Amino acid sequence: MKDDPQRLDLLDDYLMQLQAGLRPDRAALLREHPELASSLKCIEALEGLAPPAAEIDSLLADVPEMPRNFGPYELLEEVGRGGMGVVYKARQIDLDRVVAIKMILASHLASPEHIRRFQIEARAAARLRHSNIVHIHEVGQCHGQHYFTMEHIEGESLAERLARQPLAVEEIVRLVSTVARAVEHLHSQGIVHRDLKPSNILLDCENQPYVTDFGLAKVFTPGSEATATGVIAGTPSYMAPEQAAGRNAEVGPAADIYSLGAILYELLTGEPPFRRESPLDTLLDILSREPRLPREINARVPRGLELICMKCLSKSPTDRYASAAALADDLERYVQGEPLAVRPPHLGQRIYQWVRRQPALASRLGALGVFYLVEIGNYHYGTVDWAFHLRITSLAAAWALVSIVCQQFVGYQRLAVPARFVWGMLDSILLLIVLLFVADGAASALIVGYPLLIAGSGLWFHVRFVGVMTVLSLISYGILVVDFYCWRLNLQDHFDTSYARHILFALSLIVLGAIVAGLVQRLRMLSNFYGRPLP
Amino acid sequence: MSDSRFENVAELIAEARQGDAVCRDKLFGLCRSYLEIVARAQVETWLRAKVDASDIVQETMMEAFRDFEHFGGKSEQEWLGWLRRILAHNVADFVRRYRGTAKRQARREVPIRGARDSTAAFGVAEPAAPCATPSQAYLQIDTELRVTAALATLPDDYQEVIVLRNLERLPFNEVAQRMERTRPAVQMLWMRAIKKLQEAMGEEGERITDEG
Repeated sequence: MKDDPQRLDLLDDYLMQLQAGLRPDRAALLREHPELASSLKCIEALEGLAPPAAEIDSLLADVPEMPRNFGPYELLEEVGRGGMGVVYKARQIDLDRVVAIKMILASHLASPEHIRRFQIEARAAARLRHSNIVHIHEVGQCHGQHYFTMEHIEGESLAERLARQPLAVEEIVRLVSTVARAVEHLHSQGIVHRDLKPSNILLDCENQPYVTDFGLAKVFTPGSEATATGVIAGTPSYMAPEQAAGRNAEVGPAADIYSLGAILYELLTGEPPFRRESPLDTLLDILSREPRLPREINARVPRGLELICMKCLSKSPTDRYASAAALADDLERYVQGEPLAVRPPHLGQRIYQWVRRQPALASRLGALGVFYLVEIGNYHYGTVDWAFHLRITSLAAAWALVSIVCQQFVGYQRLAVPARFVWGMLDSILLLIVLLFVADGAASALIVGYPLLIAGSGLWFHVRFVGVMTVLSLISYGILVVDFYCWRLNLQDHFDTSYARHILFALSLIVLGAIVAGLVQRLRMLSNFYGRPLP
Repeated sequence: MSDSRFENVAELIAEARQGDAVCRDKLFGLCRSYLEIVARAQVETWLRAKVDASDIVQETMMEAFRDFEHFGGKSEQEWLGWLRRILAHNVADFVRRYRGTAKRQARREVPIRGARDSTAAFGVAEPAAPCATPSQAYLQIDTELRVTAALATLPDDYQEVIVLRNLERLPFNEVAQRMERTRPAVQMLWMRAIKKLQEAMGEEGERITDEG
């Protein structure tokens, strides 16, 4: 695995040369890296399959492209494509006005029921009037193609704007509060947007934001009758937990407030609150983790905005702002320098949020704390002497320190995986030291630490990691057994010296490891099943 | 009739032309995953979105079946080129329909003779081996069918990352966006997918030699 980055660079470089139409020097590469031979063969075979861009273009070329008539519209140019369909800039001939026309991809309107729902939603959306909402003019069908037309906004989306350069704080506050007011209007008309994200917010030349694509998300997000893959359809990064989990009945205005918070978060920090390697990891994070505090990512984020943002991102809808208007009010209070309605979380909430942000560290510190409290009790009642207490204290402190350092490394994306293995290894070494030099080795009740380590390793959701921890625990316990029979002669008088006890313990560790690995494996399979992107 | 999978596509063509239904079904079955993958890559390259290409494949298979008697070629290369051209027309129709141009272009007859030009027009030539000898060309087609058969056996996300990166030629940034994962994550996934594909191709290869 350790050569992977280099291997990736070599293969990617080779592929890029192929795709650029160059002829990479395969022989030279193979002289240096003969092990790449079959990978190169694969890549070349795949390249042979790739459609030459000219192939389809040439077939389409003999059809005059523009202007093309589509019912009463003249299509001018394509302005965007999405999962739902293609958007064109078009001229409405009879009224001589420029509109945006969105063609719905046929596969999204498979059944008559689907079409009916689409039309109901689109008509409801067409009744809205608000200066920051893209107005829908008409819903219709032409040559069997479903479409709707809307106001054409000359400009770019917030996503494009953000990709160009970060925005100033005042600008961010102005945009988000304006959008929140517009969303409040949607809500007052009984429409929940459900798919608020930077690419659905358009900016005109004067940087006025316009909300678009509202309400339709419901039509295109399969409900109860839909396939299981619909559960994480869309863009989980901006989705409220109740929506990401597919609890569609609970999705209300509060879900939009969460999305507004996620947009604010991205504008402030440059990244959405949760974005992980796989959809399952993203989903699990949305459901059970707290996002990193914006000020940890960008120290220049004002404290007040962080509070507002984190309130929107609360897991429970009731903990968020009561309405989009309340969010807009608080943002305006922030601009005016008035006291905010949002209160900083109290100590209990802060601890709870911290635990959810760093569960691995919190569980270790918690276990160490309990262990140390028992020890203080022992010391207080005189069952152990000062020297012993000192040893315990320094070991507990060392362990806590190791955990904190490891957590730091796990936080870096590049080091996350190796850091976990190192952390697990250090945990089992520290447990071994405690058992060997402080406690009574294999005779100590502290050997329950091993099952705990194995069970805890399941929390990283990696089968291989569970396996490694099980093996480490077995080795470590083996050392304890040797230690018990060779050097703890004084204890052998008081304890059962049969080997059966150790074999039983070792076997139960193996069984536990297998159970945890099995559970993780099942979860992974579910992840693959649910995590598939929608067709 | 031999049961070997890929060496005898030419034989299958000959037998099928004689009217052997089993051979004809076999010939079409063999090319299904090839068409699926190529169709998906073509449509998605064009539309820059995930699209279900199964209708296009179905249509192409049906048309190829219907017009089989018009196919005059003998070799695998000619056969795949022919299929690919029918496919390209269907893809173009699909794209046109998608763009709201409902006018369906009158289907042009696929020329029966002169199938030679298909190779050049449809980019079968492998850049790394510009002056392929006939035996190399033969092997190359063999690889084309084998790689698609192997690709079809991979898990969905492996298939997707390969289709996006290799067949649609998207840079990793865009692959990451389309798959909604981080860039390092899709790079890792791609490495693993290529590795899996290598293994799967090896297995397909073994199957051929076992059976043959």
